[in-house]
Amino acid sequence: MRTKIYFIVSLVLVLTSCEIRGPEEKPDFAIPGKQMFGYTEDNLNRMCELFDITLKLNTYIEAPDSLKPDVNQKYLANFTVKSSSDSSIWYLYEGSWSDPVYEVITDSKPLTTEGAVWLLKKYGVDSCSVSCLQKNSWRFIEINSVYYYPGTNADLQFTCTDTLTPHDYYSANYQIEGECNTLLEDYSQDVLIECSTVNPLKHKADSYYNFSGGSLLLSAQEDEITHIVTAEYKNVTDYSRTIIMTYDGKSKSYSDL
Amino acid sequence: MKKEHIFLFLIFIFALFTTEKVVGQRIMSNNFQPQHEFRIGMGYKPFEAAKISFGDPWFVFHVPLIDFNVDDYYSGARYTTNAIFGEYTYQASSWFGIGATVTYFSYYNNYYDAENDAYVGRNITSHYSFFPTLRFTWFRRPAFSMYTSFGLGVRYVFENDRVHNVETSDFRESISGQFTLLGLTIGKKVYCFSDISTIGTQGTITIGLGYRLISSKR
Repeated sequence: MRTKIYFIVSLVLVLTSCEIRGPEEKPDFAIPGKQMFGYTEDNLNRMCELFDITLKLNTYIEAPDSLKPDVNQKYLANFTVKSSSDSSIWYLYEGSWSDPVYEVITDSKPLTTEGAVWLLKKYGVDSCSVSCLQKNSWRFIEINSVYYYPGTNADLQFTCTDTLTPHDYYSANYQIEGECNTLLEDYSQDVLIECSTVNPLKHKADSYYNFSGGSLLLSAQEDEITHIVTAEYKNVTDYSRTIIMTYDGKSKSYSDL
Repeated sequence: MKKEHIFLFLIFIFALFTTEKVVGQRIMSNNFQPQHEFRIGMGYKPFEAAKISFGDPWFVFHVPLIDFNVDDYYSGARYTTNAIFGEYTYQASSWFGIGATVTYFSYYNNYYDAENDAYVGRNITSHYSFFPTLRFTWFRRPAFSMYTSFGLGVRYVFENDRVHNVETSDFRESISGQFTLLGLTIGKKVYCFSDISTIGTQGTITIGLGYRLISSKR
């Protein structure tokens, strides 16, 4: 009897119902993962650019004096290159900027020589150490970034994937493995994103996106909860890519970010 | 029960009693027999269901670097059962009645997973209202009348929310009431009624059935 009454009352209530508001817009539950990935990708792209500059400068330094203007024009067209009197410190100036954009301290060995260790400073931003592990492989350590990404650090290995030693660094491809952290700070939120490569990042030279594929494992902590992101992505073309983002166990696919 | 509720209730009882004794007796001379009226009805779209928006805030105080507070679910369409109510009125004179109304309605919606649209929970908010009512009949014929009425009282709201098997409940109190500018009845002993110009807890239009019982008190 009670069940029948309950059924009848429920039926009446359903029959008398009407909609007062349509469905909410479906939220993008992976937005935090997307944001974490975005900051990390910015960080990695920036390090790729620093690495790229270092290799280009190495080519410039190694070139005979007669070819230096051509190398400068080809690789470092936006810069004026100057060096200290003993050629151990090199400066890259951009336009009429009075301070050098880059300062590179060499150990007098070419960067393609095993054991060579260079120090790269980008004005106001980064301090990086680059060491040559073997002919086509370098370890890139970013330390003491104090302005734009405070506390950012990285330990990445860049390995050239071209069959031959890439003398033409402009078109060289690399694979990148390692870890990097990105600390974000503003007046109300401090977030440390820890990143490690699951599959090496495949750096593609001269592409719209630096990375043609690979996957990252990211984590960030907030209020004692650790959020985990895995991002697996590949370039469909030089100008489009797909990213499968898994944020806290749930997956979503993006055609771009 | 709060003090103000007890106070309202006492006023209602007092008004009912004095109306019976004083007004009722005076009416007798006009050949109007006091009546007990019972009604059940339905109201369309309780007042709260009307969307009242002041627009989006023009100033955003803070946008976090990473917004971790993103829901992984979303609400489906929200419904109301519309108001279902019962009403008692003591029609003390041909123009004046006093009574009380109880009303029930609820809002409900389901929640769905943002990843795969699977059902993950629901929200049901039930509203129980009680308010004394005054009715002023300003046009009366044997089988037709028109009236104005209003009432103000209390409401008890029970909200139950469940998402991903996490259940939360909430209880709160607020006011309830109904103002009817124009209401109609058609019929004699058993009659139909409709409040066609009304607003409040019962909605923006009501319909229902009523029954008149001649009071035995003289």
